[in-house]
Amino acid sequence: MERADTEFSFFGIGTAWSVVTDGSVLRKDARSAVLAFVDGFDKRLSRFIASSEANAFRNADAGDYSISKEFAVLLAKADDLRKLTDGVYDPAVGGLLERAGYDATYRMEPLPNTEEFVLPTWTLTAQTLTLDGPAVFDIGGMGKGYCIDRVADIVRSFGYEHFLVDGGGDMFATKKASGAPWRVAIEYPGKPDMAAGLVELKDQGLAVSDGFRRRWGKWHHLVDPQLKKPIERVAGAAAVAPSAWDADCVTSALFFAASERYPAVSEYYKASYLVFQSDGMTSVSPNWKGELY
Amino acid sequence: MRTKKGIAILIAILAVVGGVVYYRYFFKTSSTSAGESAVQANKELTVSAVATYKVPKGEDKVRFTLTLDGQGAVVDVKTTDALKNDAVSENLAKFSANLLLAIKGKKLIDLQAVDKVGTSSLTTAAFNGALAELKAQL
Repeated sequence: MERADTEFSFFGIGTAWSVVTDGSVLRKDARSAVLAFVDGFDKRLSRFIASSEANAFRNADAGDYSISKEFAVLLAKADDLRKLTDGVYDPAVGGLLERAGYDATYRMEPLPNTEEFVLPTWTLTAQTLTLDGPAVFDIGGMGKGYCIDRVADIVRSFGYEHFLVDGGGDMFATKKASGAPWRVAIEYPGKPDMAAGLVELKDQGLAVSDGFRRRWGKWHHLVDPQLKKPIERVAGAAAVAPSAWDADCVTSALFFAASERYPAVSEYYKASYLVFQSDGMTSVSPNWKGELY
Repeated sequence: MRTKKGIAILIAILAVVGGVVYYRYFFKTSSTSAGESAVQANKELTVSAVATYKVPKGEDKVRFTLTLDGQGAVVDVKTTDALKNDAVSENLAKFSANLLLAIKGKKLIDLQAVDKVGTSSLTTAAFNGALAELKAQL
């Protein structure tokens, strides 16, 4: 198939990225700016980088801490999500993931005290973070959505109007040069060669998440900090929202929130969604526009 | 009893959804042939089905109403009590929030003109390496 678009691929924040431009190739200076941002983001906020801000409170005493504007913006969004999921989503879950084995060394072996984990309490007021003691933050999926939107801003700032940014399977797309939307298939959870459906994106973000990848023993990376268990009720989720960041928040909420909260989540982020339940059924928000197979 | 009610409602939703799928299929096949169909295509369509289930005091009837836009996409879902002039209870409103479907999936290679595939993020080489090592120890 002949395509007018061109693809710039790279590796960042632990996953494969690509920026597809419809029409002209992404220039070298734009590529450099994108790479610099993604690499910098990882260093600044990854739980796996010892010097990152997400790790800065690992041994903290209770008290108030001044944090960077970027970390504050991310935590504020995480706080919204925490409220929408009645506290089940919490970025301070990093310590539990580490005990369960998902740490910077990829130990993949739960510690005997994993279930004794106590979720740290935190509040945010502007750029002041208040902690009750040590905390390790994991901004995970929503951090990636944030990053995708910032990459889209960078690409736009270099004068490109028709492009798609794919950050490890989550994405943001403008429209194509022809005015048509981008057509994106949604992978069936746990079946990498199958599509569950198809969505058309036009100035919209898409997030797809499942509990099949990043699985070790009885654990995977989406854990309930109160029950200290991985979430198994939902097998996977996909969401379309005005931005990749919002779409990522929605898929997180679909995993972490009770299903009665779904309509509020959908309304809050102006999103439509698809949930793959563990019982084999799929539920779709009434405003879902995509095709399903 | 709650579970039974849930199942009855589920079956009813599936019946309605089945009808919708049939409608969409019908629409897709007919819209390419005649101008008359294209006029119809711009109209919203409402379909409904009533599910009856037994409760200790007798029978309950719940009506499911779906509204479809011109393209056959579901734009609204209502679940109402068919025995009480289609009143909406809080419980029934919750059921309206989601549509339950059984989807099978389609081979990616069979899809036409797809620009990208949205997936759960690929795991890092380090993560996969650690898993391989762990499996080797078992």
